[in-house]
Amino acid sequence: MKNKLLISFIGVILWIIAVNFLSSMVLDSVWKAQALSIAIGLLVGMIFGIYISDSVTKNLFQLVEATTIISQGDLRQEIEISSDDEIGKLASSFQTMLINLRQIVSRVKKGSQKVMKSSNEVHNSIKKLREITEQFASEIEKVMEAAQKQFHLLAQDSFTLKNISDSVLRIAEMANLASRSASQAVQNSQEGKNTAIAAIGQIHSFFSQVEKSIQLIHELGNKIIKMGRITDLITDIARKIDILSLNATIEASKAGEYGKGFGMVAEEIRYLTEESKSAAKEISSLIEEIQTENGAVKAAIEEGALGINRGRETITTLIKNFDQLVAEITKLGGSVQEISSETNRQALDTKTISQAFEELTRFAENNSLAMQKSNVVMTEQRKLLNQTETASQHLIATADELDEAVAKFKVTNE
Amino acid sequence: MNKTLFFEINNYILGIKLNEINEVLENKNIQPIPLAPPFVVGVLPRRGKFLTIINLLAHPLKDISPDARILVLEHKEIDIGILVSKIRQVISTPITLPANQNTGFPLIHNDEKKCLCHHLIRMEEGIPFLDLEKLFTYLKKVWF
Repeated sequence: MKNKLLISFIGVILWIIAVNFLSSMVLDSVWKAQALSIAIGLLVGMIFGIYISDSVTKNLFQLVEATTIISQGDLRQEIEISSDDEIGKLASSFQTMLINLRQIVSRVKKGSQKVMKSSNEVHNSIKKLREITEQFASEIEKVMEAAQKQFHLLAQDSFTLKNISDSVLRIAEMANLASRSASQAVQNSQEGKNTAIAAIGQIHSFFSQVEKSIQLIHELGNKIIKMGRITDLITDIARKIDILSLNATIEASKAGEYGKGFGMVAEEIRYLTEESKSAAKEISSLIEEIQTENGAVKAAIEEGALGINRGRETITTLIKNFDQLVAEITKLGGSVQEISSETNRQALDTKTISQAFEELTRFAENNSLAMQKSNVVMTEQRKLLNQTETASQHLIATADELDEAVAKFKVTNE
Repeated sequence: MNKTLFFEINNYILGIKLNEINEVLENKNIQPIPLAPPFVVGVLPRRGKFLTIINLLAHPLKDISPDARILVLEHKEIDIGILVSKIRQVISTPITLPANQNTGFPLIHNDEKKCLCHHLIRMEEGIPFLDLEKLFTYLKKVWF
């Protein structure tokens, strides 16, 4: 534009100079020549000016018209100005700007639609997320309650398991003690068996002695019976002598003075027989007592012998039982040893389980606390979600406004 | 000096003069006599004759011990045997006893009424003696 004006101005000046030179040569008057040249120059200048202004205003009008339409939002316009002046450059710049603007508006439209779509999707997602969050919060509350219950149950179970572990440890100690006792019992039963064997040997010896004693007592009884018979005989003889002495006394009495000495002898004999009878009676009484006691002793010894015989049978049975007992106790000792070993292993396992349970209880406690924290976080999340939902609603509204604003721009012929 | 033999019939103690006794026998081989009076114990074979054995008690002798004896008495050529529980002793009479023993020496039992001998005794210086006269008189009246 500037160049055009400069060229037009220079052209006018040159035209004026040329006309002035030509007119000076034609006209003899300089003044006339100058006036003519000025007039022609002005005419030519006016024609150039009109031409130039027309060319300039035409492009400007075209540009203004285009920009007016563009300002109304219609970006479908094409600015087709092919001049090389500033207007052309301006139009070209407008065209470039328009193209860029169309691209931008198209992008913005697409972007706003995408934003709208995304906002709706976000809103829907937030709704879904809210539902899910509510469900999740509900589940978290349930899980939290379950975790608390689990923690309490685990705490109880842990306590119970610890008691069980302690009990198992005590059982293991008792099993160890029982194992030692079983070994001792095996030893004791073996010693008991040996003692019983020794006892039965002594009982055999004692029984032989008792049998000899019974035999001796039996012989003593027979001798006592013989003594009794002899005593009876002595008593009978004494009785007869007594009668004889009485009769002698009677006969002596009948003999008078002559039988006096004989009578005295007879009386002495009678006294002796009385003493003999008394002694025999005493012996007989003693023999009876001895026989009674001997019978009692014999009966007692026979009873004792029967008892000993039974005792011998019992001890024989006892030895057999001891054999079985030793075998059974040996088996039992082995079983108790196995039980002891198993119980020890069980005690270790139970202790490990108890410790694991304690650890699990701590985890459950931490889990419960974490779930409580999660619940708090979830509450915060719900608040944030509410805020996000509100923000998404605002975003949708903004996207609406943007879309509405962008919709004013027409970039295609649709 | 006479001698007296004291004997027991159950708990009764009586005396008899020694020269009134013919013989003393053991209490054995006495054969019971059917339908005899209660005081007749039985008969005893003696030197080819039967000696009648009587019981001076009104009831049978109880607890006849080996000490029981038969006193053979003779009165007017009649022999009888009396069954006594026991012969106590032979003592020379008259008896001179210390004052403190007078009351304790053989006396008849209080229950005299039950004893046949109650009617057959005589008292001599406080001592009950079997009176053979009364005995044989009684036996002749009730038995012989």
